[in-house]
Amino acid sequence: MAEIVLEHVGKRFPDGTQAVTDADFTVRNGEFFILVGPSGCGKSTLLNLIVGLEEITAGRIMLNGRVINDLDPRDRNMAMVFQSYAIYPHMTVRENLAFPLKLAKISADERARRVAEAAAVLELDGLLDRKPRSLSGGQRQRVAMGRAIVRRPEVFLLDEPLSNLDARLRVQMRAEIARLQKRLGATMVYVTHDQTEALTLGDRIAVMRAGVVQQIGDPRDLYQQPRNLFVAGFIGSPPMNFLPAQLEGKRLRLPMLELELPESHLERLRGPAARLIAGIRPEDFAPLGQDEPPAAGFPGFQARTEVVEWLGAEQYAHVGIENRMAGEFPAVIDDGVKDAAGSGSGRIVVRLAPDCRVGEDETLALRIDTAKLHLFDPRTGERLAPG
Amino acid sequence: MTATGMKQNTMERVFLSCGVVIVVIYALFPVVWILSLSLKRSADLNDNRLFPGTISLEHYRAIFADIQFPAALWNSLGIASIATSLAVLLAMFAAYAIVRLRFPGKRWILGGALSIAMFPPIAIIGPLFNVWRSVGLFDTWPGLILPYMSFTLPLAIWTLTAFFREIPWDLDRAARVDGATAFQAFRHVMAPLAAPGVFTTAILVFIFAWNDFLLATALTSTNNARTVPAAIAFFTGSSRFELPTGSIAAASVVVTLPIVVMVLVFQRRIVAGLTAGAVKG
Amino acid sequence: MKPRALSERHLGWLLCAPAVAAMLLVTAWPILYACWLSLFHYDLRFPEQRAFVGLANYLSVLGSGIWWQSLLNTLIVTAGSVTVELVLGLALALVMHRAVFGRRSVRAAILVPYGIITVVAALAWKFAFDPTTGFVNALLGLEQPWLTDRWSAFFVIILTEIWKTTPFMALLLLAGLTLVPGDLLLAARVDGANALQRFTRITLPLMKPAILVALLFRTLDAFRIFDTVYVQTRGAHATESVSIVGYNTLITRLNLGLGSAVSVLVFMGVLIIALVFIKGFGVSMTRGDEG
Repeated sequence: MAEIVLEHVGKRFPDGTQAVTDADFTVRNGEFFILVGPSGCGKSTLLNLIVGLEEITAGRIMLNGRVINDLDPRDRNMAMVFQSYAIYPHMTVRENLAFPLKLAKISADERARRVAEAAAVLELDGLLDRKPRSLSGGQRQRVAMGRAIVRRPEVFLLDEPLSNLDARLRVQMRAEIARLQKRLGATMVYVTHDQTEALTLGDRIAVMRAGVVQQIGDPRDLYQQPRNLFVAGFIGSPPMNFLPAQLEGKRLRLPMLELELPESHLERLRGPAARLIAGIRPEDFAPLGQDEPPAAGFPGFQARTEVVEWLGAEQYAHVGIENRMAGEFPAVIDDGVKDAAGSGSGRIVVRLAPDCRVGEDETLALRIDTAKLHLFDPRTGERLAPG
Repeated sequence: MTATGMKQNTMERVFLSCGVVIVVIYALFPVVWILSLSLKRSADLNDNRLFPGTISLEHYRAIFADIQFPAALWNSLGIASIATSLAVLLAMFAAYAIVRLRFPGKRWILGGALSIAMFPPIAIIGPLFNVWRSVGLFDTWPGLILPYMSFTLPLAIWTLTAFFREIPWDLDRAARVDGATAFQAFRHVMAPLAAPGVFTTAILVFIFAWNDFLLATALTSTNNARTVPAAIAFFTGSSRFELPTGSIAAASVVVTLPIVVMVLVFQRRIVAGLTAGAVKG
Repeated sequence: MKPRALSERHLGWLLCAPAVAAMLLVTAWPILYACWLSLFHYDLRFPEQRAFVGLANYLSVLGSGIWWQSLLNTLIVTAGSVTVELVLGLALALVMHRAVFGRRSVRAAILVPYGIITVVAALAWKFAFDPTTGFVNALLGLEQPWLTDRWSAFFVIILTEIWKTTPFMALLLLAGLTLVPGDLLLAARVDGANALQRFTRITLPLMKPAILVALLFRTLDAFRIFDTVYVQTRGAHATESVSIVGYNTLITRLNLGLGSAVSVLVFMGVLIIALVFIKGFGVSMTRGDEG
């Protein structure tokens, strides 16, 4: 049983940096909870606050109802896997795995049993008597995990454990970790900057930016109903396309076309004419057939392909569109609503079927799915539609 | 293939091998010469030959017969060891703080230590000479231990700082999460990792303290505290007319061979220590 | 600020305090005391005649031919040894860097001059050049009284210094050499540079910081030279270095006032050299520390 509750948790460093502001959420028992965000967003700091390596300057953290703000890391019964693995170079793998048990004064027999168990689960049996320097990256990573497992803690904390591995190994270990978590039924808090890892591993995800939690939800929620520009642009790869938009009554003007907004979108939109930012994901475009008249709700436009990326199972085209508006394009967001007014290019990314043969510098006829169009307030970044 | 991955042609390899041989001769030549001098019979000392004709151990016997040399050996050993221990101890604390903790004034301390390393000892022997005489520390062990400790601190601090920077401090955090108290983390994880660096620093500091001549000459006058460098420089022969060359040579060998052995055994550590201080700073 | 953060600062100072105190005690305080002493006429043989004389001691020293000659001597020895050491040290560093066979032997060998007591080294070379016991004269068929003639004595002194400290110089330069990224040299080779060009256009410029640091340390060391000169000539035959003059005045003639003036002047000399290097050549003394 391990439920972690964060109540208005904040961390301010002695030099004045506010690393985490008002983090308030619950990690449920047995949940795989992800903290995701760009570098410097405070996710690692938050993890350190949970394990007790950093001291909280505001709010409370509770483990199973008990406030643990002032508890030393060793008394919190949590295990942590560091980004650098932090395995002891002067000890063998076996000694590394046994170290926490020795500290807990567990008997030699029990120690041996647990070490053997962890080694079996992580396939470290043949490596038990080797020293870390003779191990590969993936093997070291497993030793770090093994050291966490032997303690049978209530909570596992993982700080970007896969970022030092090569791409192939990363995909493999991702699945391993997911399997492990299900098998142990443990509560896991996992920090990463990779949104793919977040989406594939997480039961629930907290997206962070500059110390503030932007949104918490399961992968689908975040993907389909992002709360603001930042989350919308961060989650999903290739990222959501952002375009300047002008709302006039019920009509929305985009750089390459005009459309009529469905009712679902109009709930929270106020004012006769307003400047907005429109967001459309690459998969919400579709090629317009030769003689197909555009259907209602699926307005069409022309675009010129610039770069085509064919990936076997998917295909993405970077296309240039004409800009009939006097405005500029928002850049792909990772840093600030203000960038929404800034210097993007007149290019968007659209997803095409892999068997659709398209070359570079060709004209494509495309249409968009209006129902999937997101609208954001350019000043606050908040998503206004669909409601 | 060398470390830079470039291929060496035969010319270069021959050239380098010659270089290696030359360097070895260069380094060991005076040692060999002094050894040879020490083994020459008194009568042969003036024969101007590089190697002794007949080998004699009379000089070795002579230097140990008189109390002067053994006393100097004992003084050097004791003073250098104590000064080294103190310097390394103080430097360990300072280096740990500099590498691990955040506090203002770090750069000043390191910079200040550097300034001390550049200090001319001549500038302080006057005051020390005067004060030591008034407080009774002249010609005593503490009289030398204190300045040695202070003068070797910069070297110790810079070397230890460089070594400590190499230790991944994540391990300390990992140990605490694994359930260790601060002391347990230190004992099981940090101390074993820091030990090689501390050991190397001790070697470097010891060599430094062992070597000093100016302070030893200025601040001592009798066998009470006179160290080896000072003693050797003032060796008198067995008679007023005889050059003490042989005794000096023998004493030098006795004092040098252990250093040579130590350097050969620990050469990798010592080079690492010297270059770590230079590279990582 | 929370208590834990404050104590990190305090802990930091606390841990550094003993070392800092020890260093200051034996340097800052004595130099100030020396400055003080230098303002007095203070001869230990006649302690009751101690009297404040202001800057008279300095005038006396700066007006003395011995002082200027010793300064010149010191500069001669410094310039002579440092320049040769730089070149030899560089060569030695290159050998150590590129040699595959015998790397360990070289490394061990060069530590011998480093580990040997300076006095012993000075004596070894003194005996080698000694007209009666040495082999140099015999080997070269000369009659040269090496250590009793000023310029040949300089030769021996400089030779001894070079022998003793080139290895240390080489190690410092080797450290700088290893910082030159191998990739750059490979790229230069592809671009058509030959070995000499690679060395002068890439390696040397990139080593500049290391070279300057090595030069700074060795120049300061050489300026402070004492052991070698004392052992080999006692400073006779116009070979005195400034430190020898200081020693003679202070300890041999027990003139604390005058001797302290000499000490202070030597200290200022060291300061000037350090400043020239740091400000003039931009030697970088601070290496990145997180505050």
